[in-house]
Amino acid sequence: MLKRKNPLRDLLADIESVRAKLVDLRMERRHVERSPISQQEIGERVARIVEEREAEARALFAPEGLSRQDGVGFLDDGNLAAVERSNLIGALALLGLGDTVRQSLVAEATAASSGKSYSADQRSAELIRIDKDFATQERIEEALIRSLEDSGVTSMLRRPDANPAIFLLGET
Amino acid sequence: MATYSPSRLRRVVDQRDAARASLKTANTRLEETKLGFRSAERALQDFERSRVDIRSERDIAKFDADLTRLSKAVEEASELLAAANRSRDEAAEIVSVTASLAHSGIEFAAAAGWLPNDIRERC
Repeated sequence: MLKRKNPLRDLLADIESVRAKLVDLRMERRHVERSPISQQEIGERVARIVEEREAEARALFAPEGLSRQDGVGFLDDGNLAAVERSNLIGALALLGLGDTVRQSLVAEATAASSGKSYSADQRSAELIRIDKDFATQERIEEALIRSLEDSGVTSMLRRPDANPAIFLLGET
Repeated sequence: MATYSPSRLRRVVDQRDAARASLKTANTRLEETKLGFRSAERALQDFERSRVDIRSERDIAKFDADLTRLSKAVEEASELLAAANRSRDEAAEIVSVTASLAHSGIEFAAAAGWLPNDIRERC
């Protein structure tokens, strides 16, 4: 036997279903926001870090001290002790090992990153898509609640974080 | 172009105010119910502490009947109190949701420059 349709129950079920989609979309958004950056961006970030450290190390390094006659002035170790102590990565880059350091750091970062990675453009496009889907679902939800209200049911609460740009829209 | 409806905003603010009024009523009801519960509890405690002169089967039956009546009154008052607590919590939840919607709606309308004066006065 066919089940008799109950429009109110159907409306409530539809609202529940839309709200579940909204929860899913919010979780998807959070996931995309927190996903790792792309391989290329890791490389760029690592290069920038190593470059900054190298510059810091270079500011401390005093190579002229290495050729100085003993007992004439300070820093006859080229200030290497201070360079090493304050900035090992910079010290290695300074001594020509920058490429090795960069490759090692990128390899470590890649191995430690989990899940799908996104470039800035990909992430931005994905977030725009999710936000569009979210707005569409919010509009559907609002239309369903208004149908419910038109049927005389006024007890259905909107979500506390419902978008005023949608729930204040006049009838079209 | 999207057109916004002051009457929709007015309705949201009305819902907030109605919810606040319901919460006030629920709180009053809860206080009354608490008083009823304490009174029933006190009556039972007084009865339990009182010295009862039992001389006959009839006295025992009366004692049992009084104890049952007072215990039942406490039980009923306790159920009423639980129900009043639930109603108050539900009313508070509705206030929270409607206040949040009214707040975001008012801010949205104010930012867009169409907040009606009568609603501004109710902020």
